[in-house]
Amino acid sequence: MKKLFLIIICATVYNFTLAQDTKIRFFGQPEFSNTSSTQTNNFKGVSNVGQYIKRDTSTSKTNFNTGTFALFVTSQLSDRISVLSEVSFSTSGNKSSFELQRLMVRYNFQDYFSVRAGKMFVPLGYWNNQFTLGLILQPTIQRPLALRTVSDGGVLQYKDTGVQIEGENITSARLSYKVLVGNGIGYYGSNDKTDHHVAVTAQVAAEPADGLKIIASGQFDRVEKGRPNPNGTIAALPDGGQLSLLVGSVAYRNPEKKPEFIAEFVHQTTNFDNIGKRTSYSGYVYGGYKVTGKITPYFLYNYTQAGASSTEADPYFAPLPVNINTLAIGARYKFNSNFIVKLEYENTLNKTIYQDITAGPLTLDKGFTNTSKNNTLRAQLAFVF
Amino acid sequence: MRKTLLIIPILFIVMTAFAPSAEIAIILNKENTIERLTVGEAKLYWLRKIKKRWPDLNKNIKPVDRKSGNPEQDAFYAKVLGMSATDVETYFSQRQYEAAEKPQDKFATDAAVIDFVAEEAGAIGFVNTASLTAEAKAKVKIVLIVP
Repeated sequence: MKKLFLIIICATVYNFTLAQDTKIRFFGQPEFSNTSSTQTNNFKGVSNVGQYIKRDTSTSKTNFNTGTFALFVTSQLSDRISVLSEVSFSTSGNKSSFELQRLMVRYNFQDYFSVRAGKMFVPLGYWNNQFTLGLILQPTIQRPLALRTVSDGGVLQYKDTGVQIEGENITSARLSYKVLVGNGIGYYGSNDKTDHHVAVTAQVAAEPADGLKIIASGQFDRVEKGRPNPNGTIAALPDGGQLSLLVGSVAYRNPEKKPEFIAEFVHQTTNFDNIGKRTSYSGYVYGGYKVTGKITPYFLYNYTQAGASSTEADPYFAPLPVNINTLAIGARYKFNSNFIVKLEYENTLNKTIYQDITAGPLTLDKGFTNTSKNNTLRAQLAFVF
Repeated sequence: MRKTLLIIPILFIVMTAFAPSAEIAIILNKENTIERLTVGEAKLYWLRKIKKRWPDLNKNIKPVDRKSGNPEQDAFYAKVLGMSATDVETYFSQRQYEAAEKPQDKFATDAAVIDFVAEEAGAIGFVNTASLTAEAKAKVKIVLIVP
């Protein structure tokens, strides 16, 4: 089956090359990382007055990773119609996997009105639409946790299958909009959808100065009881409910200017039918400065709070409340537009808060927390050919 | 003092030799209704920044580029775009990967650029003014000269 799929891909690629205005690109991004981790468990013990127990465990690992290999094809079929496909291949352990990341056709009526249909990135925020799996274009080695794809350890689903209308370059403020109606969370375009719910994702943006983008986006969907959450940490959601995801973004990236800046804030609320309202939020700030045409030092700070307190986890994210602080400092060296090397140091503090253990009126254990600290040094070679 | 006086003209000669010196002309297809462009407008149209389709013509804007390593491209990037060759490539790649936008067409010679612009209604290109023979001028419309 896999062989047949590969043959079909090769034949498609060959036929595409015969067509006019077709571009085929391969992205590679092998990575080296060294991580040292320390896990600390704190038990406060019985009813605030008992024992205090602290346990530390430390581990470290060094890893050479082939990274994701992406095949990207675009073609201009006519003056108004273009198509795009993106397939990724990755290896984990002895298993290799491929995923159809995007497959869409776009019809451009006018600048202020175009239609896309197929599988695509949802129009949420700046980073999600600006940077693809070809990491040569991405300013850092990894996406901020707030906007990381599920396949890359993220928590939210940033792809969907459906129809999107969009427009841009409206008025001198260069306003733009995108509205996507898609299958929604938990569905990736397969035939397993059994209900009539659809997700709506909308975005409005302005570019008042060259390179400066201000964006507001929102996604509205229903999560289904019994289905897994997007990142798979919960096999069956305990309840269904209405989900809304709001994203505010400001970005300044102008090839003619040295500083670059991106900041995004994600606020997610789920109104569960029975267990009530749960909220989580996440945000990040990225800053970089082009010292020369080739060298850009940068930093990326991400803060994520899934669930509001020790007693209020957000089942959409994780079974337990989690608080994550990540700071990455790095630099990238651009040999040319086809080859970039990035070196990054990342510090992550991950705090999981367990619920109190009670027996009737007695609190048997209060404030058990697990704190995980990771220090990671990463190097990435990102190329396209 | 004498050494300093000698170094200054030498530096000037060296800098002049390496500066993008070609005089270039921005050209459009004859069907295009636009008659004149400023440097700023030429940049925005070529990069498809403010418009992706020509307003009156209603055709896709098709930027035409030269294959790398020639004085015409160096002059156009420096004098009109104000961008490096790497930045231009990254700019078009980003738009291609995000929205399936076609990147710029590239040709090896000015003659090939002129022929392409003459055939494609939505094309916008640049050539050395020395390449604009009477025959070439009959094929395309010159909307800007950048000395």
